[in-house]
Amino acid sequence: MTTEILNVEPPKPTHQRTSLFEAHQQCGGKIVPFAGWELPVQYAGVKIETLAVRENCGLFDVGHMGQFDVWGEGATAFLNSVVTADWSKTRVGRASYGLLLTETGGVLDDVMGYRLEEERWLVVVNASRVENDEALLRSLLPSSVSFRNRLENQAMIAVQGLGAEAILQSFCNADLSSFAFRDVREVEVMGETCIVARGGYTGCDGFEWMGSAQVAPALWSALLEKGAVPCGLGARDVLRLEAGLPLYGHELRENLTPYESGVAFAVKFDKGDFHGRDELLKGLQNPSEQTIRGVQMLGRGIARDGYAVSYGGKRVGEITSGTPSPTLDKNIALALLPTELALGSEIEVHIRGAVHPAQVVSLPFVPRSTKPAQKIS
Amino acid sequence: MNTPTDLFYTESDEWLRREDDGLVTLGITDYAQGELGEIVYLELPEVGTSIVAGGSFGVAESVKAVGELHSPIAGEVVAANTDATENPGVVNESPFENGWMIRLKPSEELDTSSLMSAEQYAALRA
Repeated sequence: MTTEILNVEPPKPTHQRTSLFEAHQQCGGKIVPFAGWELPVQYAGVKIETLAVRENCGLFDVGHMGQFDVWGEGATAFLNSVVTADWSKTRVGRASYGLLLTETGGVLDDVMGYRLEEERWLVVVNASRVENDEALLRSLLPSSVSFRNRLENQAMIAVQGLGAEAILQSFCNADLSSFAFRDVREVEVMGETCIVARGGYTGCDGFEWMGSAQVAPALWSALLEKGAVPCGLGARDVLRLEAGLPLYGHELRENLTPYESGVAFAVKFDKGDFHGRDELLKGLQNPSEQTIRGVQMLGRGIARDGYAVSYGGKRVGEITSGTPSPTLDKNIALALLPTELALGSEIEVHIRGAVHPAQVVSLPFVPRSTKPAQKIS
Repeated sequence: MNTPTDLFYTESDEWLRREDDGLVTLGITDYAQGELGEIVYLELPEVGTSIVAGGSFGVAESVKAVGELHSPIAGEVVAANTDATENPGVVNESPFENGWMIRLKPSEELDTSSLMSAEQYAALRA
């Protein structure tokens, strides 16, 4: 048997370990290389972990993700001149999603910006894109703005699920029930000043903790003792797919526009200039007729990244990510397909030479259960 | 790790059993099912399919891994375990017994010299 583990980012020559590596080994995590890091793909099993998040609370080590501090006079204007979204409208204490573009208007990465003060941000980026993102930001950095990659001492834990608030609250000095979705604050957790934000990448309610590598193992053990279930990259990928969220390298790529990737909501042309804006506009003069769509398999076959998709016998696109969904007990996928293909269209997914019936469905597959966005006061 | 002594093994974690009627039964080892994790989909060939030596005879998939199954010997498929395709979890629970995968009529007399004994296989995966 030759085994391929799916949606593992391309391996790099050397692998780093997060501060939780020993904890993963102690919990029986199955370690795989991922974007230059050694991380657990699963502990007890992908299904059990996925359902643990849906039912109560799961813990994810996301310490591999890139963390950049950006601060100083003009920091907000600088970031707003690089990302596609309008971060000038992001208030202090709020987080925003955005894209970085290449010179040619392709998507370099998708990132989260956490506005901690008027002129101080934390930017969290995909592990596989850290070098590209850092190079771009440094190349455009004004002299009044400082930039630091936290790599030396970074740690990040995602506490996800409806039980996350109660479990994390035991160790936090701030009232977590007062956090709206995408609120972010500097608080104390286990006696250390750190960053806590409400959100995540699972489509469920939850929190992200960004603190020091020294505190991470103690916090991880403390959260486990409160009943949180350790979860690996496998469950993280399943949950984000069930929520219809894109992953860089799959739905997001340099050769796809934000419109094709389904993240056009993060592009604000009317906010003024930003890096790659003109090239993106040029590329949009001949708009693409394909976009990321939801696909549900009608039989038992499992669609995976790269499989061809046909409609009426004619090839019309390909799968970008696919998985069995433990929550729905169905096999689901995201695919690059013609925008005009109606919901409910019966399509065919080509799996190892055989044709498997499937259907175009709406996204997300599982309704999101995140807390409502901040109330307008 | 469970490694029955009456079987032959491959380096790619399949097992073979020589049956009394001359047929050969194939499956994957306890180690292989553990590497895959919970198997949710099993694709096996139809009866009558010809398998070439070293060729693929199917796929076992877990949520986040795809395992391609290889036969070290050539032959014709005379049976496929449809209980296992209906309920792939049986491969996790009973990889050497109820989780068997196919029975082959070998094209030629089974040459066990290129296969591993239980002792050799256990050493490989120790």
